[in-house]
Amino acid sequence: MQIPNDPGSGAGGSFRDLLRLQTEFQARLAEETVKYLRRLQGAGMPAAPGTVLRPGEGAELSGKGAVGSTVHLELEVVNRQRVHCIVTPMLEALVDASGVTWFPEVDPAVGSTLVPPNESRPLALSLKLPGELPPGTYRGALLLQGFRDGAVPVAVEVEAPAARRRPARTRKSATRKPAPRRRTRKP
Amino acid sequence: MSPSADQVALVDAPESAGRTTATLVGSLTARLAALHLISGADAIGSLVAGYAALGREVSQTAEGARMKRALESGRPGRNGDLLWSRLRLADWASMMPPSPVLDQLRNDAALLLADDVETTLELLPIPGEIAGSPADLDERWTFADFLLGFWACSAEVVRVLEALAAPTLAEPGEIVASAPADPEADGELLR
Repeated sequence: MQIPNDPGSGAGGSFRDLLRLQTEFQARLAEETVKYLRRLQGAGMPAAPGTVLRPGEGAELSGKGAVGSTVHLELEVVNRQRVHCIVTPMLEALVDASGVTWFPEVDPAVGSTLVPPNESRPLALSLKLPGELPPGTYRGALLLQGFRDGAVPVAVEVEAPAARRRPARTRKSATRKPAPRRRTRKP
Repeated sequence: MSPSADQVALVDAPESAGRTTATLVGSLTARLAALHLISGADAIGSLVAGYAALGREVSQTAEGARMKRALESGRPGRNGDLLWSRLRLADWASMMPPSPVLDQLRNDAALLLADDVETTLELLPIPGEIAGSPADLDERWTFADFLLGFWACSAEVVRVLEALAAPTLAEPGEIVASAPADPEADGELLR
């Protein structure tokens, strides 16, 4: 079989391609070998005893609030280890069924909590519900920064602001006002 | 005993030594001993890889994602990417085993609060003395010096990074709308 190696045949000839593939293979082989050796070195690294988070059966942080208000979430952290542990809670982005993703603002900025052995400490988070947040149930998880495993599911039910919700019968005067505004918006 | 529904428990990681004063001292001494067996580049590279691994993990959180977007979209992110790739820092850090930096920090902090450090240290072999006369040194740093310096440096790191992110940092509480989930995805095939 003849393999053309003319500059005009294709993209530089088959030999050039062969050489390129071989060079790439050798470079990749060297890279993977070094990576493997580094991983081997990592296996011999000094161990750092770690902590994992174990949520209670059916544990879920849940809250409910109207747009523009603040939702408070509370959780108790029990340290079952024999030494102190510092925990720094961090909230994931929350997503609702319609696909809206909300990056909640936690107020005040959650600091770290030191939990002594065999004791518990409360973790309280306050989430501001932005005015433009569409109503729905937003789900995500609470993580403890740098922990190897475990998360607590979070569900925040966001309701429409009081003015947008169906008015109560006792507030007739307040319910009559929005009606003309709606009519003027329609073409 | 299992935690109740409104509790979370902090427990020892499975298949590893539990966190006790003795194991934490052992971990610290092993780290110090390992420094004599590896190069400085390996030690620092492992720390850099550890910070990067932590950063990737934190980028999954709301606050972390906000900071990441701000740092990536501004000039600091672009210049940092250039330096990271051209100086081959990416290759170097990616080849290093990431150091569990937060585990180590938590463990070292727990040691400072333990009430049995003295008795635990009595059980350990006495470390060899460093050659050379301490009198030759101009300064003899104390642990308090180190701790205070570490605190000041860490606080400065936070201030610097927040200042770098500030021009492009989105308002907190950002909302991103996306297409609703495809109802067909819940079809019989996926059940």
